[in-house]
Amino acid sequence: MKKKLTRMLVCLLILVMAVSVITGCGTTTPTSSGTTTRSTTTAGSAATTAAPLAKYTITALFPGDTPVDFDEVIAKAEAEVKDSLNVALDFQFIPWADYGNKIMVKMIAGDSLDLHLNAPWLSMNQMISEGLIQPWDDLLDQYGADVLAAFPNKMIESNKFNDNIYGIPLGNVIAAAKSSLYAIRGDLRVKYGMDPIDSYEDLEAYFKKVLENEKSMVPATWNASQYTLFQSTDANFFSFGQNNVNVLIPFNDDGTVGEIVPIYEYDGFINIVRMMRNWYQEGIIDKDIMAQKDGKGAYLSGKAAYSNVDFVEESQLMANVPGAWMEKADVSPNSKPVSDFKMWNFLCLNTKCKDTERVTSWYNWIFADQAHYDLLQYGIKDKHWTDTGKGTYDVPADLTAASAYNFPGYVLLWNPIFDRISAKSSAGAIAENAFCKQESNYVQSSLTGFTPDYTVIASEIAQVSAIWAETIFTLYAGVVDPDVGLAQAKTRLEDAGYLKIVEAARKQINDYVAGR
Amino acid sequence: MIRKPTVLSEIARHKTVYLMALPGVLFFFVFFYMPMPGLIIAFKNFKMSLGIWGSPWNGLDNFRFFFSSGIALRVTRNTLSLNVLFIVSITFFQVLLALLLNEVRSGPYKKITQSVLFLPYLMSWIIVSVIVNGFLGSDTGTINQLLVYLGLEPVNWFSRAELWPTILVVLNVWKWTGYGVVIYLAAITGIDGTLYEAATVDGANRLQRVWHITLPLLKATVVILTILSVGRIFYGDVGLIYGIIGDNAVLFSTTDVIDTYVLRALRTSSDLGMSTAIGLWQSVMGFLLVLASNKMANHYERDGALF
Amino acid sequence: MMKLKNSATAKTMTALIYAFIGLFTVLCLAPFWLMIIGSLTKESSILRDGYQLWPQEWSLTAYQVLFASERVTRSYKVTLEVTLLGTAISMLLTSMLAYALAVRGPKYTRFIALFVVFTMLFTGGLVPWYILITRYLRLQNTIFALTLPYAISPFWMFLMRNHFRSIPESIMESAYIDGAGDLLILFRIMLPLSLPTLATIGLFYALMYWNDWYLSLMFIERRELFPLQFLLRSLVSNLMNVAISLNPKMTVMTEVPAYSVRMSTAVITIGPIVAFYPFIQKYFVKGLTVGAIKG
Repeated sequence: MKKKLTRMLVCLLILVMAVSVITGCGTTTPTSSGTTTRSTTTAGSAATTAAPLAKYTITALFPGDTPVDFDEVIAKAEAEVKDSLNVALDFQFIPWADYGNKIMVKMIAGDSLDLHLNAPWLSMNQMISEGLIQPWDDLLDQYGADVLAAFPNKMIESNKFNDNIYGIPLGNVIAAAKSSLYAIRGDLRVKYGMDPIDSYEDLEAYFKKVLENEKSMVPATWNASQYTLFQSTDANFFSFGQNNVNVLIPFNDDGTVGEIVPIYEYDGFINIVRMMRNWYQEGIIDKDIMAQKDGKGAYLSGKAAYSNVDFVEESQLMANVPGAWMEKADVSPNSKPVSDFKMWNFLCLNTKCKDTERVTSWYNWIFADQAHYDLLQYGIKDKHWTDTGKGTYDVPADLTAASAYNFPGYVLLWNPIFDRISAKSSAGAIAENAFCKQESNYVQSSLTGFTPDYTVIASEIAQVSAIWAETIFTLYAGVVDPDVGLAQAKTRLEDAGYLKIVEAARKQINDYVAGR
Repeated sequence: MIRKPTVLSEIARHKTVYLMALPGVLFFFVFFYMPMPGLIIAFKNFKMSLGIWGSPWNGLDNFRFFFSSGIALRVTRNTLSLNVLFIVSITFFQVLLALLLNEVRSGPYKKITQSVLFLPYLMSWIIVSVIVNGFLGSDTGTINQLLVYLGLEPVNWFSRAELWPTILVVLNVWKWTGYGVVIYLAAITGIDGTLYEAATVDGANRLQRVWHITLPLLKATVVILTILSVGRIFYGDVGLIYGIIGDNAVLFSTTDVIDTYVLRALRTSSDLGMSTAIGLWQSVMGFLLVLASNKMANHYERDGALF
Repeated sequence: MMKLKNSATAKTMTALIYAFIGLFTVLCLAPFWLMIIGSLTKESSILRDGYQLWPQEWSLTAYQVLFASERVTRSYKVTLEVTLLGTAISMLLTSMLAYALAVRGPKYTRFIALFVVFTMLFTGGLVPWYILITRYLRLQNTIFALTLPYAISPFWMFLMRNHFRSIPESIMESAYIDGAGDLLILFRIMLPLSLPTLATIGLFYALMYWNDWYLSLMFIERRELFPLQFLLRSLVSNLMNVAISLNPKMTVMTEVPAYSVRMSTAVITIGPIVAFYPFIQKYFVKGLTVGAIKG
């Protein structure tokens, strides 16, 4: 009896295992790059070679979501290089929220992954120091002539790490817009008969008018517990630090740095804090500002008259609130922005990449012809987009949310020369876009090329950043009394080691400036 | 001559039992014990290129950012007090509702109620936070609108830290009661019906039946669930707290727990050593508590002990 | 006489009980209701007035967007496979281990229990676990990556063990006397008597597999193998981005239901569970203990 049942159980186990293997077989596939064939020959540039190349799969991991119809676009892209480069493109997307973690785990575990997006605010510095990503310099010189031609020299030079190109700087402009710009509701300003805003006083007047006349709206709101918007009354400043922690250093008009002091002693910050407190008490700032999780959404749905939105999102505002349009008010119109031309996102090449020549050649292919760039960035011509002239594009009239091809260019492609803007962009958007592509609009920062080293203060940054929101963000949001709050911030930040961070800033910056 | 019992003979004697335990033991060994050496990262200055074994030791450096911060006390206190509140309140309501539902005779009412009570368990905190924001908004929130309608002062919910332990307890009870009711009802249905019959014959009323039969027989389940929760008492419920409170610093004094603190501190740092270090500390503390509570259980309620 | 006195108080007690339970139930239902209504409300009305108890304007766009591509239907299939396979593996392994630890004779089972408890508290961390599963076990991009790492939950295993222990020893003893082995006892006696607990834990496991997205985030890169929750996560975030790139002159037809979609994704995740639940409920009935003892 016992033996019979044991046998029965063993059979049951085998059955379960068999079923699972069979179901598993249907969905098992070898690891994506496990069966990549080594390239047999490569000879110089991406032009045709004598012997046909063995197929190589370029693997990449990006944040975002797989665009609609992506397979179609990729198939077309692969078809176009079938005879020359013979690559297959295996691009994976995972949600932004999970990206940072996953890319780190994959690189540490040594998974084979040719390309990925990285940045100093992710884990790029660490990957460079650990030798996990390799520089593009020699590869671009040999196989990337079109890439080098496509990116303005300034962009390349300003985005080197340790004098090497560790990542292709991805940006559709060459520098950020002025930090003294504030996105308000243009239609409301016109409605109140106000002149264009060009100072903090004007901005306050605008907010007060909104408070008076629009009962269903809150004048200003943003995710105050996650980031700050009004950072300093100085138009230009440098922020040393990571994970929200910073030491704010003012720039002089010629791009040189001013005095380096703790944030609670920095005038630009103190002035802002007092102003915000004033605004909070007057009701200009959302009462629940510290709990706000979707400030942008509030603006775009017409509930707020100001938030940290951008022209890219203007179409949403116009769709949700008929008659509304976005306007950027410049509270410091006479100042020229100081910039180090640093980009926000970089395309990085894995040191373990098995065929760097092929990858570089393929990347070069993108910039060999505007049509190649357009294919990947905008989709299939006349299906997903239409060409409305140099530098602009439009979408077909019958396009819906479910069929819109939306590739996040900032992970792979963005380039100021090849990128197009929507033909239906507002005048403000077009103007800002043009401004940010003109080198002459900017003053060169004396800290161009400066790469801070945060590893020496890692522990202090961790400690300080954990209390930054409750000490400093609360001041920025105006929810605490400035005198009390500043004094408290000083005590608590100093206890957490903030002064060491300030010291590090002084030393590193002074050393850098002296060394030039 | 009596052979001294050896390990092998013991295994041979109950070989079917040990064989049945084997797959489970293997599972835990492969998926949990094999990666466990990674714990030593807590004491190392981890460099990706050198790997786990090659990276240099750095003693207790990774613990510094937490313990010398002055915040350690606050977040630990919050973690412990919130968890204790959660365990007590959730257990209370779970048992209460299970007992009450058991008394319900009407089949459909019982079935529907049990299903509905279970619904909160299925909803993620992200969705719930959207609804909570709708309720507690200062100007447009439902509760405040109600207060104003009744002529009372509206409350600035998201700025009053002292209110939040209660709010969090309410939310957690709401979420977990249905889950516990399912478990306890399953246990109650296992109780021999003849016991109740005998008691009724002896003249016991409803309350007495519950007090003298149902509750004692539930004790073992309550105890074991409590010990298991106690093991997690040094871990903050990140899903709940980060999902609902997020980064709202104004509320940190009463709701910031160890895990959310570490999350903020190390958000852009790729330093594995520091996060592993604090995790290790939480594990050790939890383990000690489990040992202690298990010992107590062995003393008072043998059936509820873990081991 | 005693009966009469009891009936009055008994009636009020009963009424109170029903009322209290009813109140609790309403509180549990309300947010769920808001969620469903939110998914059926037109996006513009949500933006204007927030989530309401009854839609100002109805709209099915939130669901249309989800089912527009067959990605969602495909991921339903994947999730279903994972749930069925995972629950089967889990229940088999868990019940065997739980029984082994429930039997009182063997000496070392106490040690095994401690062995398991230890894993509930100590973990080597994400990276070693990831390396184990991808480099050594090579489970990535297979269905096993989604069903093996969480196969046994110590928590539920101990619950099951305790339940087995509560079954009267007399039943087991008479079975031993009749010559039955442990396996027979487990399958022919213990499991049938434990139907409520098994149904409960089976349900919990099924829910765990149904809702998990973490394993697929870590180990699945082929789009055909994305389960439901993981797909929905990225869909929601993508919709916010799609809204940005659309033409401002487009009208209602192209409304991007970012907020209502958050709700509809939650509904299609919970929906099948809620529909399925009443069918398992019937297993939460009184056990067969009575008959067993008498027999």
